[in-house]
Amino acid sequence: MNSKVKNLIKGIIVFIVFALILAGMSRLFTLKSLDGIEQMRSFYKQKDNTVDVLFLGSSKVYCQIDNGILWDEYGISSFDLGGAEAPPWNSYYYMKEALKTQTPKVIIYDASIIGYRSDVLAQPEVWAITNNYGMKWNKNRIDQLKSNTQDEKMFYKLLFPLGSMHSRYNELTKDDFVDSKNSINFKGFDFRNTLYVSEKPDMSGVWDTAEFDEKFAYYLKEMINLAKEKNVPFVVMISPYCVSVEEQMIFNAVGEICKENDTVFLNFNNMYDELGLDFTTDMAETVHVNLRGSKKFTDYLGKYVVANYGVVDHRGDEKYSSWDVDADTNRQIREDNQEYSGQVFLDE
Amino acid sequence: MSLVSLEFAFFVAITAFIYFILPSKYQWFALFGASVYFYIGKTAWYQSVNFLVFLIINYILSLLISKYKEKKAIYFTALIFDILYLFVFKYFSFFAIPVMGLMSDPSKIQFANAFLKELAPAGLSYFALILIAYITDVYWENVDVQKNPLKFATFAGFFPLLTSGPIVQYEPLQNQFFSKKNRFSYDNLINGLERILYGVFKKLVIAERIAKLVNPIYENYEQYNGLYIPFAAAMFALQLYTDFSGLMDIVLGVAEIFNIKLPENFDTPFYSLNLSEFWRRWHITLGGFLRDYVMYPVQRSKPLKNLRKFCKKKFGKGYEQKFNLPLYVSLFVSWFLIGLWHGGGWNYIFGVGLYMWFVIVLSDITKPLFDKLKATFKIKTDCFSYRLFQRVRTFILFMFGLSFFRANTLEDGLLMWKAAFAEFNPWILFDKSLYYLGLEKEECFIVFIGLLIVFIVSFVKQKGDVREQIRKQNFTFRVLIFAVLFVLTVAWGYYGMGFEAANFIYGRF
Repeated sequence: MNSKVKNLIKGIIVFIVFALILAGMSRLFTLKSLDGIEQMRSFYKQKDNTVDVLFLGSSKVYCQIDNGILWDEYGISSFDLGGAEAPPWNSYYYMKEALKTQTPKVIIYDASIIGYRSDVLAQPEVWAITNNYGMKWNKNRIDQLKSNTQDEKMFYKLLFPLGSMHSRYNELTKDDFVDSKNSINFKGFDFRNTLYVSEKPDMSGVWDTAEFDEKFAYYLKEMINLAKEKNVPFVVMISPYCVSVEEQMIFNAVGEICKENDTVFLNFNNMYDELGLDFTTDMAETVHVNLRGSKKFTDYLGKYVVANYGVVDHRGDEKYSSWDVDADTNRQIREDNQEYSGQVFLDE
Repeated sequence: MSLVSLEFAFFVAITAFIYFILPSKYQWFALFGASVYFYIGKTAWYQSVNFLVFLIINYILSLLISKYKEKKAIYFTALIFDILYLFVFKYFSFFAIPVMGLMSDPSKIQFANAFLKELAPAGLSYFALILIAYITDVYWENVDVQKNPLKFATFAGFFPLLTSGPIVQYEPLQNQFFSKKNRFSYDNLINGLERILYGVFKKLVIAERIAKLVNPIYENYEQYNGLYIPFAAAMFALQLYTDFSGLMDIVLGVAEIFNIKLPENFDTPFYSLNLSEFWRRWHITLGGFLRDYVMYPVQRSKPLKNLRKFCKKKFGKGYEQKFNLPLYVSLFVSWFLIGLWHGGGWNYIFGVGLYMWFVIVLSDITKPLFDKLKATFKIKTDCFSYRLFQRVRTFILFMFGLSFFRANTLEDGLLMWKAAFAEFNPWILFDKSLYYLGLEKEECFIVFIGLLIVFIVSFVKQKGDVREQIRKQNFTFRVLIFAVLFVLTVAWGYYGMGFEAANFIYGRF
């Protein structure tokens, strides 16, 4: 064989070897984070067109909505596709990814982040990572990172996971190799079970609106338009928490955008009684409900979705058996966590 | 852009691509363009202009030297210009600060000092010496002058050299830069990449980590006594070696991709048996420059010739065996300049200059005495144990001088060594005190592994070129070695989020 050809073959082999090494190391070292990375990775493993109810948003989705309850009570195949503190631009790109392989009966987007992180136009690095590194390498991943980083320097710094993750060499665990949560059987739920005792917020007289950055509104509208384009019903909700008046005013403005765009808007901070939420027992901290609160909130969502979006009961259908496994897991979690794991006291 | 950045990697890849698709006749132009881009990206516009002016003046003067018979005057004009340029932009503060202390209103000098510092072009210490060597070689008619200004700039401003050298001569490079036939070489590409990988490993895995042990002691030396001081000095010697030689591996590896062989700057210096040999293996091109362009001319100068005559007359023939005064004088000049080149500070002049001179001269003077002692006590010198002793001794002598290089001032260096004898605390090597300096146990282990790899490579190098020896092995083994090195560099390297790899130490000259 001619030496040029030999060298070319050797060069290709070397390139492939090193590319595989980089890919493998990237996968090994990337955090197996339940704040977005594992949710996205597991989502890719779902069989096409099996997710009937897609929840999008931040941790207020995956810490609060128990897919196991939705399955056990109603046979709903749902997925919590969120990232830590995910702003609307992150959720938009998640939505684009999701709609490549799924045609949900309804997408429910939790827009709470617009209120309680209204000043964050680009996430801090740690959250930018958990919101991005679970995505497949494609244009959406790159666009999402671009939309979520302050400047080009930060973008290139975070673009390749090894740049930020390689220092984990001395904290690798079995799960980094096994990656147990990266599975078709995982539907995104990552519970909270502390207790935070607070007073029930009273938003009954709060109807004014407050302005928020155009970037949030832009991506919210993009999501609404994308849903319309794909002919998928889209609901914007604000999940319940210890909301402030200022945040509620922002949510009122979000409600107006939804109204202008013929989109259903549910603000659960006006519906604590309908949920049966008790702020002395059901909050994990100021932002998330705990397992007790999650049961109530998820129950309500289940009834709402069945009544309004004609979702099919898939229990018994072999194609949806992974929801059985997930429900078993979550049932066991509720069984094992009857007591609170601790109490949270925040500074006045 | 940093030489250990992805940006630089892409820059080299794109430059190499353009370089090899161009016809051989025009390839140098790709290097010229890349060097312009690199320099402008690295420096402020006024620094680039300053560099350009310096290049233009040297170019014109070199043409005049080659053109006119009365070249001596032109040559000395060029030489004085280059030396003054170096002094003004690098050593102004060294001379100005003592003067400022005598003035009632030093504000003008302070302003001038700050202004000149700001205007000083990057890589000044290197390209100034490269051009001094060039104009001297033109004057001595060792090389033909380069008439093409862009080719001249390509040589003088070759981008890999601009950070930290090596200090090159024009003659061995001119054919390589402007060769008519320069086709892509797979072997050179792979060799270059291997070398770059090794350099990045040394810098990001070893040097950056050792800095975490060294910096706390040097920056707060008042708080450290006893063995902390020699520990810091020894670690700094290893840090500097891995940092600087790592940088040189990257520079030489990059050049190799373009089929350009730059001179080596390190040759396993810690294998040296004495300090003279050490400095023939450490920063080789700086030593070579001072030997060829300072020491030899000084030795050939009239004052030294007269001194040799005087010594011969006074002490008789063979005086050199006992006390070679003319050599010591020429060495003094060279070593003073080596120290001064490193920085305008007495810590540099002493630590890597006059101290080294003193030890080398003392070794030479006492050699007959020690030879007699060795013979008397029947000490075997041609054995591993003696060579080990010599190497350890050389390392200790070197690290002592080098410790002043790292100290902020000569006084700080002296105070540090005074503190070294203030307390005897060997327990710090055993009671985990060293882990509190800033590098945890696991990180120290990584340093150990890294240095072990460097030692193994150096050991293999004693038998011949390392990469040549690796090339003789099976392809799979070769890929495996570099795959392991790659994995270690990627996993353990100080880069990315949370790390800011410090600039190369020699890049600040």
